[in-house]
Amino acid sequence: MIKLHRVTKYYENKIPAINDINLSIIKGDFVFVTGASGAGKTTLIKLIFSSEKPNSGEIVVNSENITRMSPKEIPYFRRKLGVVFQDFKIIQNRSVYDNVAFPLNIIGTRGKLVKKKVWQVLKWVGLLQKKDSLPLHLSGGEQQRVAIARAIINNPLLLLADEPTGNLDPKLSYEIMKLFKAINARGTTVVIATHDKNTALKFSKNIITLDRGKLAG
Amino acid sequence: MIINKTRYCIRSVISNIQSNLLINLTALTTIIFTFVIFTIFLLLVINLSEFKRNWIERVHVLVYLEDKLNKESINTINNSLKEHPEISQVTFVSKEEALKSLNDSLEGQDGILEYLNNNPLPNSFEINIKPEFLKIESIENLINKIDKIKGITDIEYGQKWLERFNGFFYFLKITGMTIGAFLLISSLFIISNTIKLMVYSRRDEIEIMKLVGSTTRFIKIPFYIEGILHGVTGSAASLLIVYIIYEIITFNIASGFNIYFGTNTFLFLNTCQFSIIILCGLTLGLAGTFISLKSLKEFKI
Repeated sequence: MIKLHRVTKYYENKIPAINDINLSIIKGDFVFVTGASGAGKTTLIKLIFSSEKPNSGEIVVNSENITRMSPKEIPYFRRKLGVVFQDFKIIQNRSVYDNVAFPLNIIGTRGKLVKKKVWQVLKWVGLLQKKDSLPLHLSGGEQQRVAIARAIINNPLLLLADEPTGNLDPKLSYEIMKLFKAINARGTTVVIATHDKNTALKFSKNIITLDRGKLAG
Repeated sequence: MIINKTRYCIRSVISNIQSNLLINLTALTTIIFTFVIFTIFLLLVINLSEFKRNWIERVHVLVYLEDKLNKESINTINNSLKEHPEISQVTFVSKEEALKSLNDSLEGQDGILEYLNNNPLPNSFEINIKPEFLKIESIENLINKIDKIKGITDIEYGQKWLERFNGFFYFLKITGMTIGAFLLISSLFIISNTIKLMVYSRRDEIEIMKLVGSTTRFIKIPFYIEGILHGVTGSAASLLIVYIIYEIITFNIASGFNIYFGTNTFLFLNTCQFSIIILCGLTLGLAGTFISLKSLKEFKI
């Protein structure tokens, strides 16, 4: 599903955020990427969804070499992925329904189909009753569930999450992780970046540890 | 699919305008102001051109003759003038007739001419020009030819007045173009900055759009629609304002035009000129949006 071959990425300070990494994640995996702050977890996630380009090396996602992808091809590639962030990245002045429908609306999906899919996914994440609420009126856990619902509305092959429980208390974090596990059970490959190794250990044996941009174990 | 995307874009534009109403109104006011000034100058130029055309159509050339010429020489000149294809009619005005005409025109001020011992006015010919030659170039060409005829002292067709008029007309055009260019650049700058502010206010949404696989082109479309809306509504509103001003002027003051301009028809823009103004608005909106979006890093994938 995901292959990184000798990937290096550094920013303006020239210190590698990712340093000559090789790794492979197979289809259907439930993988955690852990490490301390600055270890390169976020950079790795960004490289996989092509928000950043590596300075060297090759990245293949779902048989597509994204390092050789033109900027015009990237949006189409991203439509096959779902991405979830620590800060939710949901539109505050739009309802839960509109936020979840967003990926479908921008690709011009028919209204009826949008409605059907949004209802299904909102029901699945337990937010159907709050479909008309604004994010401001939701708890952190609910906002993250909106973000997850939006990420899976297109039935992605791969779901990436960058510190998805970073802003949540342990109980809510546990529920969100259970949701990711359920998504994985439906066949989606899930990669979660987290600094919390203990939570990671509770949910998967498949853990990639990064230390200053290098694989540590 | 296209219908759904279009619906999304329109909703996006409406929500953008609603949430940034004041900025949008400011931009729109500036564009309206620009186009009002621009259209007023255009109307002035159009009407002065029309006035000039009317004046030329009614032009009479006066050819003044030397005093000592006998009847035979005057006839020769008459025949020479009639040979020119541009001339439709030649009328001889004797110095006596000229004095009588002057006397008539000074009705009520008879005393002015009574101290004259001799008639100082020369014999002259009044020339009418065929309609197809009523162009400034043709008239000047004819004058150059007539000027070579022996016995003619002076030719008059209001050229000094026309030169002054042309000077004023040129000044008006240059002033109009300078002010117009300045205002157009200002409007471009304002549209561009308004769009930039719209982009900043929607920065989070743009980021999310990129995340979920929206193409850059699709992200930009609502901003282009907004720019076009600014340009088109601004120019259309300015035309409406200028039309109201035009109606007020023609209703209240137009009768006075007849005295000064020989016509009381004050023209408004025709359909073609009307469309050009709207098209200018559209181009201005597009260009302003293009300039602002080109420099923003928010659209880099």
